Amino acid sequence: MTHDGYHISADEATEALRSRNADVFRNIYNAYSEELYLLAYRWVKDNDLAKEVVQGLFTHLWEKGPEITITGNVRHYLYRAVTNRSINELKRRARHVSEEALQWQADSVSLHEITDHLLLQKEIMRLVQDLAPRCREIFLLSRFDGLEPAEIAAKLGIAVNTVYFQLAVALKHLRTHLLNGKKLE
Amino acid sequence: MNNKDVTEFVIDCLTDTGNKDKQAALNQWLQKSEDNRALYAELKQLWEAAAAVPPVPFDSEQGWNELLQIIAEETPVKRMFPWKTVAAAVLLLLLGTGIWWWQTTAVRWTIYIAQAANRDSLSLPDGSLVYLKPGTTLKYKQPFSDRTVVLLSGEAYFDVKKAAEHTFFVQAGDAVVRVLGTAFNVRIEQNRTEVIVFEGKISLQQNGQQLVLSSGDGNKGTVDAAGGEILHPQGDYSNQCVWATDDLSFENEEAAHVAKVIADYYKIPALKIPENLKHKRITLHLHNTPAEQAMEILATVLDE
Repeated sequence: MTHDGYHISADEATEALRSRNADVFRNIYNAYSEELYLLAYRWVKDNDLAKEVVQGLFTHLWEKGPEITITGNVRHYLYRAVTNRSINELKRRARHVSEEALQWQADSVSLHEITDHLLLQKEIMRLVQDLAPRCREIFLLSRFDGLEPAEIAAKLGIAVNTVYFQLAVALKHLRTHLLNGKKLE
Repeated sequence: MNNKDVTEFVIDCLTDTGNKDKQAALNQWLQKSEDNRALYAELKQLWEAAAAVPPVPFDSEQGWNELLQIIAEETPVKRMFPWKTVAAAVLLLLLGTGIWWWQTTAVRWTIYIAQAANRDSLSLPDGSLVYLKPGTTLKYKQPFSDRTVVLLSGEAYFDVKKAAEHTFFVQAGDAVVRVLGTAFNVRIEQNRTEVIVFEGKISLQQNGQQLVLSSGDGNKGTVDAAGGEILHPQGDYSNQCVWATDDLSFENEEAAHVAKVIADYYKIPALKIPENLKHKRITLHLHNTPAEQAMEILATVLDE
């Protein structure tokens, strides 16, 4: 019996879909749904739509399960599926499809690179939740909203130096926990 | 930059790439040591990775619960015949009551996936009760007027409410169980479906074949997926329903066998039965009995 979704092989996954094994299906969902959400978000740049793409993929896997054969690596199979769905959704809504998404070659090198990148993002999201509220707010305004430090300072009515200080606190926190970084002076 | 924090300095450079003075200072600093270059690379990687992160984290627990809803709602709704759709549309145009007609004829499947760690239970709209082993999935139509449950995987025990005018059906793979009001267990395995009647009587059907099963001796029927005959082994298999019924019954059975079934059920080590008593035939009935009490009862019966 496999309990950890990350170690489910393609054959086990195919069999689970065929026999509608809800336990295995749930393990796969728990293991990969967040990464798939991040990957979908990378292509569609819209968190609601990204979630919809992921839920749509799993609904499809469940409903068409008996007709689906998963080959190779389960994670890579899901990455390809979610990328295709993202592109289709963008086209369907007549939204712009980035060159990057279209050019994305699902070869093993880019799959491994993107896996590392998504796992890093997954950790970043978790660690950002640990930041003090003000620090998190400033970090998100900079990173997510793409505001310049001066714009953040003006928006929040604080000194630009405070913005730099808080951004540095956030970045050090990430580095200390993620890259085994030594504590910075 | 000596009196400025290194990270702040790097952020300053990353957020102001157009400033030549800052970029020059950065280059100078990078050339000083390998450590500086490594540190810069790490901070830049994190800075850029964070920029592409969605604003809202993904809650997979919540996502899973929502997924169950989506699956239940989107599972193929029984298609109405085209003329019915047309009729419904016409009614909708002509009468306000058309909406009511439409709603009552729109059939929706509900999918249920057993989630509990040991045993899950579900009340069907007709008052019948189902116990499910973990991971078991089934579906049924809403409204439940046809009293039909489709077992998709796993094992379930049905305690069917009596309603003489409405037969209750369980569809499991190729097998169909037809009942009037009884309790029975259905298990889908890779290549076969097994049905055990705990109480009352059912009819097991497959590809035109039929087998009537009653509780007690000969209460099990097996249908194999290859479409062979329905098998009807001898013996009373009621105790295989114990996971749902908490009910163990032994009628004139060997002590060694009884001890083994009891040990399996209570998940305790095998019980030692004295050699001279192993083949002693005993009859006993346990219902919802705690382990210690069950041991005492067994010991008493053995001593009789």
